[in-house]
Amino acid sequence: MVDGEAIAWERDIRPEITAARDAVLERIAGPGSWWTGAERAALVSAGRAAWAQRATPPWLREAPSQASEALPGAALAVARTVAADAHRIDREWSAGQVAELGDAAYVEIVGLIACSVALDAFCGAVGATAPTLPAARGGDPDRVRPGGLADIGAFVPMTDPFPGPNVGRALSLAPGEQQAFFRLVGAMYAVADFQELVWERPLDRPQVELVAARVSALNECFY
Amino acid sequence: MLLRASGEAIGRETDLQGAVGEGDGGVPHGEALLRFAEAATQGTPDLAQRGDALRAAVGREAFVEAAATVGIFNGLVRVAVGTGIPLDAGMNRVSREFREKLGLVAFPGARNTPLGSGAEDQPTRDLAKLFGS
Repeated sequence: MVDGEAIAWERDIRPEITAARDAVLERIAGPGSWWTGAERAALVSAGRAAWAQRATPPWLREAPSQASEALPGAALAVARTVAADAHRIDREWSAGQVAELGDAAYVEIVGLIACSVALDAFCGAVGATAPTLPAARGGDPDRVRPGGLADIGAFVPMTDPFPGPNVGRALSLAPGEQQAFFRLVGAMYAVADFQELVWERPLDRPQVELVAARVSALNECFY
Repeated sequence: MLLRASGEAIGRETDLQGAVGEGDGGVPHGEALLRFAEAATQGTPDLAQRGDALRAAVGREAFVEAAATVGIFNGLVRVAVGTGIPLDAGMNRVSREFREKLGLVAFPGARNTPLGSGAEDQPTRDLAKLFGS
């Protein structure tokens, strides 16, 4: 393997990351709980377009026209803001979008965009080709709202009680997105060995945590 | 918090100022890792250059791992910020000092965690259950 050669998915990326990527893409293309497969794909496309233009001020970005015709403005605003301007999100803004969309539909979009940004940020960083979304599948959203939710002081209700830290229940209102996203987390960061502070990996744990801390600070993430 | 704890576990004194882009975090190739994370997160034109520099320093496999970390944390922060989760009680307690030192209390999300509520005195949760699994 030549060190200067471009990174290729098939050769250089761990199989568990590729498998998690494929699972996420399949999930995006199908109906969710509050959005159809076509709507989910359009939301992700809008988010991806915003992410790709994150270095450009919001008012100068170009938006894909086909997405803006089919979806509520609030849904597109959530997709684009979460993707490219997450540092602008506060309780008031979130409450405004939730009032228009409903809390579970809002969280479903947050989960979709978290997945797509994770994949696109990885591909951009490593210089690999970003994955293409599969064709949207038919079917209706199931409109199932999970039970066992409570107000824990976040913008939206979450599973309560919950045995782990809050990030693990943040997407409680969208269980399918939560499962898909945390499969990515397991493949790209850690789950089983999270509590092990010494890692025998190509990067040691402090090196990984330095990158994680910098990314969080750049996004102005207090959590 | 995990930067400091994981450094201590291997007898290395890390530097939390790395989180705000200063220094090298006290880790090997820290400056190259930081510049790469910044370029990839912000989408700046020097990303390829920063990536090449990191890859030359740490090798191909570690470079891919760094990119995976950049990717998933860009997703994780969107989950946290988009849903407005407050800090966990234990994290709130142990991170208070460096949050203030690094200026993290100025971030909008800081308002999601009421300080002095008494919740910060609750015991730290089991980190192994981070993902609810």
